[in-house]
Amino acid sequence: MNLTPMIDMTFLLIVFFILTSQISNVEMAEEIELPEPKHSVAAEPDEEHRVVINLIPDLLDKRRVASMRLGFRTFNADAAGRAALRAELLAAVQRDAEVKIDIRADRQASYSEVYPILNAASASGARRVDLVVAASLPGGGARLNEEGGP
Amino acid sequence: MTLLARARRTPDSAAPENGGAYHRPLSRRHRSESDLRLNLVSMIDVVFLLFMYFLLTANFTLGEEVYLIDVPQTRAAGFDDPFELPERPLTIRIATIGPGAADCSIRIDLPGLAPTPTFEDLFRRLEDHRVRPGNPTGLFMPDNPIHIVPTAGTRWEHTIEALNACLRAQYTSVRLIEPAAGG
Repeated sequence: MNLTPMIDMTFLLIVFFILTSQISNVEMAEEIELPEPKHSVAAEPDEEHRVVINLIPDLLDKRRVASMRLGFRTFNADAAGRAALRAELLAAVQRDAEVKIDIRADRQASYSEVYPILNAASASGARRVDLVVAASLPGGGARLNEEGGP
Repeated sequence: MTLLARARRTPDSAAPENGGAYHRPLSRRHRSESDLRLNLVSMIDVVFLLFMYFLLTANFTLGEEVYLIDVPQTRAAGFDDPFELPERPLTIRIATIGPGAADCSIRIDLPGLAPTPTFEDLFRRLEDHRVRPGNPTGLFMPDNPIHIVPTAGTRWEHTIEALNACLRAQYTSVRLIEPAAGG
């Protein structure tokens, strides 16, 4: 048996898994426990033109947001960090006018910690701002249509 | 002996010059068996390629859903009807009052309306007040603006529950407003 192409393919697979696992880590912060509303009417996420902001909770006090993560970049949850995040979002919208922003926040986070990020996302001029929640169980409720109406 | 002469000799009849034995050629039966043997390397290559193809094309379900919220800037860019009467938004005030998922105070800013104990009640009240074919005496059109006003300390899960109740009651213009003082 010729082992060379097998080893080639195995290395390719390893590279593929390394790349995809990094991407998923960036898109989905595992520290965040998403809200899980009952009888949810939330829609399936649209993967195209998607920019995800992860609001990483403080491990000691989950009501507080410790940092914000946008792609590979992390911003402090202070005024300077929020300003930098706002600039980054503006740049993202300038690069792609169809961009939509998904906000992932922990269920325990205080509204006062999330609202400035909502505001920044809205002010960026993005086409849409979506709030991410955990998917409900099948048959848990009606779903929104494309226009956002139930 | 030259190489040419060696090639002309039939292997069966030829005797080795150096005292060793020539290898007998495979018979027809043996040759066909060896031809039919599968080449595992190319098979594994193809299997890996297929595996990668399915990985790339598969739609990985994240177990997540999204709510669309109103973005004021997008609205402002639209056409404003100068004859349109300003609609008074229906305000829903929420505040977290305990550690439990149900520990939330919910109040609709309508005169004579008692606070709603749960988000399920909020949904029912909103649905009861929505104008629809079976309910002509409803107070609010489906596109009537609804403002959700959580206090600063309201947990995100309660804010989302309130948003969900409004959308579930089929209101289409729901906004999250700046946090109110307290909580």
